[in-house]
Amino acid sequence: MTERENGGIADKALQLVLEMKRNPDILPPYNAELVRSCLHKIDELYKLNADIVAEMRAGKQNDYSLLQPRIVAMYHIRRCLCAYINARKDRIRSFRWKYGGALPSSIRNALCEAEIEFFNEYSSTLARFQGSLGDNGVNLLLHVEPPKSLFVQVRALENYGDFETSDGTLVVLMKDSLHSLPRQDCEMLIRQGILEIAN
Amino acid sequence: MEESTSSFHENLEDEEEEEFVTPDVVMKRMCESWQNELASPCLLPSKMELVEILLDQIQGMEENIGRQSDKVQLRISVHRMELQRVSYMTSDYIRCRLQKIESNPRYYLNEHNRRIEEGQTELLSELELKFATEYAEAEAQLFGKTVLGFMPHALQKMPVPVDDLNVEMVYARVLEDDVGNVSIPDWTDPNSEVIIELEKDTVHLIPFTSIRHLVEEGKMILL
Amino acid sequence: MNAEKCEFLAANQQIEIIPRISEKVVHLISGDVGPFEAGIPTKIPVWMALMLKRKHHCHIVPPGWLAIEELKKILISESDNLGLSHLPDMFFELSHMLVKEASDNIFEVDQVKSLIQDIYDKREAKLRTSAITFLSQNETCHAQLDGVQPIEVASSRATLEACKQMAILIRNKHQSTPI
Repeated sequence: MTERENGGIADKALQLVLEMKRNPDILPPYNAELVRSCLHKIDELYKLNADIVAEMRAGKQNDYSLLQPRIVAMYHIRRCLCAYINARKDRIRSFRWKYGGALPSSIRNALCEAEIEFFNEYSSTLARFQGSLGDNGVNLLLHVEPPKSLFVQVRALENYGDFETSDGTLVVLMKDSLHSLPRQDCEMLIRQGILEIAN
Repeated sequence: MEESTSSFHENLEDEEEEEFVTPDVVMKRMCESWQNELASPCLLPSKMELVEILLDQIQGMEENIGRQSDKVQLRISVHRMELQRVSYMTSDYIRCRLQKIESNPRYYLNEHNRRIEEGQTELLSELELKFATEYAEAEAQLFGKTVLGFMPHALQKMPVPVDDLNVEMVYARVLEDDVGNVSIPDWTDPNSEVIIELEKDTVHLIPFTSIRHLVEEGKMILL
Repeated sequence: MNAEKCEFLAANQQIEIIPRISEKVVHLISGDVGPFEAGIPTKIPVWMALMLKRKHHCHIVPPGWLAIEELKKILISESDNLGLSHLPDMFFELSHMLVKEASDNIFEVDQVKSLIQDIYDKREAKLRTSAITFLSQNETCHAQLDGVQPIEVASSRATLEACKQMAILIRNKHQSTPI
């Protein structure tokens, strides 16, 4: 065990935040165990204080010196927990913009149940919003870069197979094949790393 | 090629706007609103009515292009390119606003209500209001089911980040004559202010809150 | 705003072209363009001019300032002037696009390019000095920068962040100093 892991719960709560900070490009698996022990600690501190307050009310002599530090500790742990959930939430939101409504299973496996629910809820909230814009709705995942030309030269990075463009042309995307496609048609595939801009 | 612009009037009548607004004016206003929203440190009052007018235009134009049988290639590509540009600008404007709303939904919902109570222009469009409400709820559920719901009652309140707009600075250009003066904080004395004169076409690095009202009134544009 | 968005905005500006084709008026959402008659100059938005140019349907007439003598004048005034001189709207965005996509329509394009770079560098140095001066004082939260170009604002976002940090420090100082 490292020294940090030997530390108190307050240090461990901070570890949750650091876990997110140290892995800016991936979403680490939800650390249910650490979250649970943090919540447990808050509960414990709260009860200790509640007991003292109750005794105080009953007029018993007691040592009040730990009341305030415990409150500070509780709020510190709470803050770390919220920051952890918040940082994960921001990353989960970004997946909606990258993958649309269907999460790849590798990412799905890193989420806890409430996070999956959040993703689905966010996804459908966004879909409802997009769908209500104008008469036909707007796909906000498209038109992400300022357009410079109608067609872009792209190279396929994997064997994707048949792909139909908006004007009905069928192209076969094979690894390393080059194509000239309407910009808006291939935006999603570029973002997902199936195509790359060639030139 | 039949290119009608009929739907403008209908849209604007809803807003009880009296002036006649041509599509190119809508485009110009949209362009300014987009620029302002991108550069503003907070969400600005909604201009989603401009987006709706342009979406209508885009649809009309797409239908026209679709009906075109003799495919005059050049004309069609020019129209397509313009559609790409308009779609990009409107989509980017909407995305920028959603991002801001998502960064602090409760704060913006409160701001929206405060502005309505004070008789100011609305911060959120009807759709954005619905989105913000639903998103705030989804977020509350997430925090509740993961951490807050397991804490003692006193600690369960959903945190609302506080952004202090008073420390935000912006670059802004004066668009009109006779905009007049604004006051900015005096850094040497917290109890006094400095008056700045805003002449047309001048550009300023200035605290956002000092000129926010002028941006909202279209007298200045953020850079 | 970033460089790409600045260029996107600049592409809305009007520019003169000499068409090689004839075509009726095109009713765009942003206004009518044309009619086009081969050989007769007309003004259209830059984005459309670049499109026609790529298809060899037109010759682009560069704006008057995009010429060696004019650029030299601008460079001299930039050197003489302590502040920023006044440039045509979207100067850097337009010249960048035109040099890149219509180089054969610009006379002595290499020298034009290097003059624009010199102008940019001179201005950048001034902006950097003024940002440092501004950030080294704690008396005023306002600076006037007439004539600053969109791309120059886009590349000085860091200054805004520094200003914000300064405003926070000043506020904290005022809050902690008894009045």
